[in-house]
Amino acid sequence: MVATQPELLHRPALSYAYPLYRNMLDNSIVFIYHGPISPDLVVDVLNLVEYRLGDKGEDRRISKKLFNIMVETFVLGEQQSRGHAALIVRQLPYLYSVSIGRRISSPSVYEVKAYLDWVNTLLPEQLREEYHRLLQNKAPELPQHVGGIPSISILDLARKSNDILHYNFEYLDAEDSFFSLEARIRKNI
Amino acid sequence: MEALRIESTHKTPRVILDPENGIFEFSGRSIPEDSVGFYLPILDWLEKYAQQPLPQTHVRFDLEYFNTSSSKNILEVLKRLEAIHTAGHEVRVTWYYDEDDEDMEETGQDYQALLNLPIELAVKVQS
Repeated sequence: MVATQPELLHRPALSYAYPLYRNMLDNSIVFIYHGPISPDLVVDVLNLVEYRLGDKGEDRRISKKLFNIMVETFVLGEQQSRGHAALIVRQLPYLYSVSIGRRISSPSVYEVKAYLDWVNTLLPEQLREEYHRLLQNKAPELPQHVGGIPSISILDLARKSNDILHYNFEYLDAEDSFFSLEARIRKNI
Repeated sequence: MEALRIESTHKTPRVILDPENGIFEFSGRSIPEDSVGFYLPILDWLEKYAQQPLPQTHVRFDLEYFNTSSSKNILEVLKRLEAIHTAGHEVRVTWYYDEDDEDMEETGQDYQALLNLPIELAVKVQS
């Protein structure tokens, strides 16, 4: 049977809607966003996530922690010229996960990876000290930005999540790679 | 010297700098698009206030949330206040935090550690 014009227009939507829904369900994704990130959006997203958490009766300590991490995660997606960012919030039985995905320049991948690996070796007290040094601009040997990302934001996320930061790089081409960073909030804090 | 009053928006804090009574207040959220641009007039105002401050200044920070870009600028605000304190004028800072917000409490502790300025941490009373 030959599809009519309206069917041709609608079939793609039907074909990707279910896999996307299934993917969100299987991966416990409670929020996903792709687009430009601005402070206006931050407020709207926080309100939306607050509604979801309130609906589930989440502990206020966890909600606060999640919000604080989301606020900083947004910084990593702001002010970039390499296309829009993607934000994903997952809710698992024992933790929340906040991920930001964005393009970075392929040549900067090693720099970003090295910085994250270094941050992940730091103990809480060392993280605090390094954060203080960056906050006061007293760390001339430390870059203010790595791969276009504010270093202090990465340190801040590591401190707040009280866990290692998980990351991944997908090589796209010689110019761009897709960088994703995940901060986790354990519910038994 | 005239007071500086900035009304809050959904992404910037309410700021009241009242030189008549020596009462300063920062409350709300701080995630401005241009953090430096937002805090610059506040820092300028404090520079002028520092030339002839009142014997006692009480500063109240009651923030809901803010990003690291704002953290740096808040540190600059506190440094201006530290200079007034170091010059021999009493400056008292109260840093309010929600009892469920350990990050906001920790940020207050950060500023306590970084500055030679009396910063009192206080749990917000829930309304």
